[in-house]
Amino acid sequence: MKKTLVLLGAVTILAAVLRLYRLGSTPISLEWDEVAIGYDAYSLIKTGRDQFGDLLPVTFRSLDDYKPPIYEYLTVIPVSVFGLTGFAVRLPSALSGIGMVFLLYFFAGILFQNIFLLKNYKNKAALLASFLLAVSPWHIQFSRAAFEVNVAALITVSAVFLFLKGLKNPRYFIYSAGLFGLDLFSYHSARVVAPLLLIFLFVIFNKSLPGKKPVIYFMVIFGVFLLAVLPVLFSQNAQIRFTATNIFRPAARYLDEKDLDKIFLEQRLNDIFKGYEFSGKIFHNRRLVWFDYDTLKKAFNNYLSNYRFEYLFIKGDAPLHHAPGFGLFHMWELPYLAAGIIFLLFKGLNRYSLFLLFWLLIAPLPNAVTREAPHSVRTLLLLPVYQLLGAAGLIYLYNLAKENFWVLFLPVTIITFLFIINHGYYLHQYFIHTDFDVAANWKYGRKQAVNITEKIKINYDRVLVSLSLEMPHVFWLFYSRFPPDRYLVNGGTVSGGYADERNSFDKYQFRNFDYKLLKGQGNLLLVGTPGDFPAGADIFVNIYNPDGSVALQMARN
Amino acid sequence: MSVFLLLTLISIFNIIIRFFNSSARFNSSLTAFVPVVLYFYLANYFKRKKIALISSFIFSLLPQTVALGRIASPVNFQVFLFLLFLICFSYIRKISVRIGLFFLWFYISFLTFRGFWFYHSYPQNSVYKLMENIFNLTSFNLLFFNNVTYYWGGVRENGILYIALLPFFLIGLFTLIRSKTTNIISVTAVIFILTVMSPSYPESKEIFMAFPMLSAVTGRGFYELWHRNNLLNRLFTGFLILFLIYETAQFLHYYFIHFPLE
Repeated sequence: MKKTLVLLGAVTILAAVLRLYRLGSTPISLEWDEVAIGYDAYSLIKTGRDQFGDLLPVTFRSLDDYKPPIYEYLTVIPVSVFGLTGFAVRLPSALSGIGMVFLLYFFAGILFQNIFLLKNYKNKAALLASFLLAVSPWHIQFSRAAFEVNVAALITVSAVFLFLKGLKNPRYFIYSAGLFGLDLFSYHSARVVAPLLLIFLFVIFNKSLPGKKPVIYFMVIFGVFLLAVLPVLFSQNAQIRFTATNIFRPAARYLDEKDLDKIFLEQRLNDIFKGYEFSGKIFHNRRLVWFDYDTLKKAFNNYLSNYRFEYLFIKGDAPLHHAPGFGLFHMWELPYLAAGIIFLLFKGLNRYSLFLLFWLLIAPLPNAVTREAPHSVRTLLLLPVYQLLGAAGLIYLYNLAKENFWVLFLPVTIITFLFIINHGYYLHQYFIHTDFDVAANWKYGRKQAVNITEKIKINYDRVLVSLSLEMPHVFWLFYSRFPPDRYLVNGGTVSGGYADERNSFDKYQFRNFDYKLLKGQGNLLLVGTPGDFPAGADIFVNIYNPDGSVALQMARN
Repeated sequence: MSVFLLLTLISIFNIIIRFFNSSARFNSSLTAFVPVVLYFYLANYFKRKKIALISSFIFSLLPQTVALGRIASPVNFQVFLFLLFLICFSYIRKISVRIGLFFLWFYISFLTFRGFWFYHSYPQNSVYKLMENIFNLTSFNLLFFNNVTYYWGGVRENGILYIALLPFFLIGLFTLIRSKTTNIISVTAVIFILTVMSPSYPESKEIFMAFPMLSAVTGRGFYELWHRNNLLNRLFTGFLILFLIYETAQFLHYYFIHFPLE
């Protein structure tokens, strides 16, 4: 046991090193959600209000995506200790990641001690699961940036862990209710996944529940949280997030999205042309958009795309969500992940393994009805499941081969060798190439631009920052550490909307401009991307991305 | 209702689908009888007529079966021939005769299926491309949403199977592996391996030869779910059948009305 704890300590330290090393500087800069979270936390510390002036909100309007509050409140502590820095903003996520690696050992222990074969290797299997999570590219990626979903993942695992522990000790059962309740305030997709997990837990463990009283307490506690979250869920503002991201009728029409209304019309005209007007009314009725076959297919495709090998092992999804040239898993994880699934399905199927498989199936559900699939953020709640399956697969393979030294020795040597090579390559890609290849995606250049404008703004009447910088107001608020009380006195943020031109503070105005029309409008400093300035513009500062391309420019009118 | 009456109905359905609004070709009309041959093969393989019947019907409904059944494609005859030989294999036990039969099949196939890459090209030799092909072929996207394996055009907006068949397919796969009845899976795997090695992948003719096997796996799953006398299973199966009808109607509507226009 002592040896196991020492090994667990080593795994946790490894996880901490991988998550804390150069936390504030790799990825090279903060993207818009991170600075928005940071400034809201800063504003809470100074005024008790967010950047919109709302007192201790339960939903942060932020960039008009109405963020759940837990991450924002957690960020208050590091920001008050370390100041408004990238390190402070990312710290809650990194600590959640480290915490989850540590916790997974105990959670896996409970699961594995109830599954055939794995119970003989409970400690080894649990350690393996922890180790796999510690070195997981997917988990490292989201532990090293301020992603609320990483905290949601920790809360979800803790809640399930305490539920299972609570089957024998009612005290834990009640704590679990609190965590399931908190999960509703942690991240959008957790609001779908956590209740479904909870329902399934109650169904499959209904005969092992710890008596009526704890169950009633559980219901009451969870019910309180549920009642608290319902107004948030049904408020018009909070639904904006879903309205903007759903696949049925997204409020904003994206270029890569089909225009359903147009398609319906075209199809109906085709039907009439071929003499099948009635069938057109059935198959292409825009009033039945929720049941439209193309949309349904898209929802299923979105859901299933989260299990695509190419996505998981080779390409990943958006550039912000994985190391360049690397998927979400190491390639060497594929064989024993498959072995784990096969083992649990054919040898170790019981209610514990069934729960794991259910978790694997429901976690991508929120991504089924939202744009951009597969999506590694919206489905991060899958994470400990893959590592648990991987650990089960490794133990299963080990058990098959353990009788013969050479049969065991060879695969272990090969797997170790592949791990070193593959993980080494991953670390290289992450710690070196992230800062070069995808610096623009991480919004590189804003910090440098703010530092310059802060120094020279005194020489100008106004500073106009183009909206092509994408949500520039939060970057300027964050990096200039503009006092929130002064900001709120002037009305705070008007809107976090992508194209809103009303935000301003101090000498800064955040709006689009036409360079040629600014002559004679006073002494203006202009900040924009190369597309904002015509040839011959009086550009006097260029800020370059690490790859040599121009990130931002500054000009005089 | 007798099994043979149902089998006749399946054949009639297949004939109507092939001849409706089309200049029927001998080659394509032959595929109307593939479900019949498939039935006899599976009835012997599973020793359960119901599974064979369900699988034949599922095969008849598949988008690519309908689409290829209405055009002159050499693979139509190959599927027919392949299943005939599989039936022979399943009845003949003598190894020497089996080997002879295999060479006979190979020879006829060589004469009649010159489009098969194996007879005129080298296999794909890039490991990266092979991996990519394997991932693509085993993806849900190909299986249920976007069949890119058609040779020149085709109804790519649909997958190999309908989404409603996914639960049956997974249950069938699970049941077959658990009962160690894996011949069908092995045959499918061999065809898949040949497919991913094709230099022209994703466009592939030979993959269609795996479709009867995929239907068999799905049929096995359907049977497994339905024959357990459980209200929940029946309700779930009933829901999936309704969804399958909806999807088939959607496909036929698209195929007969919009596909020619597009």
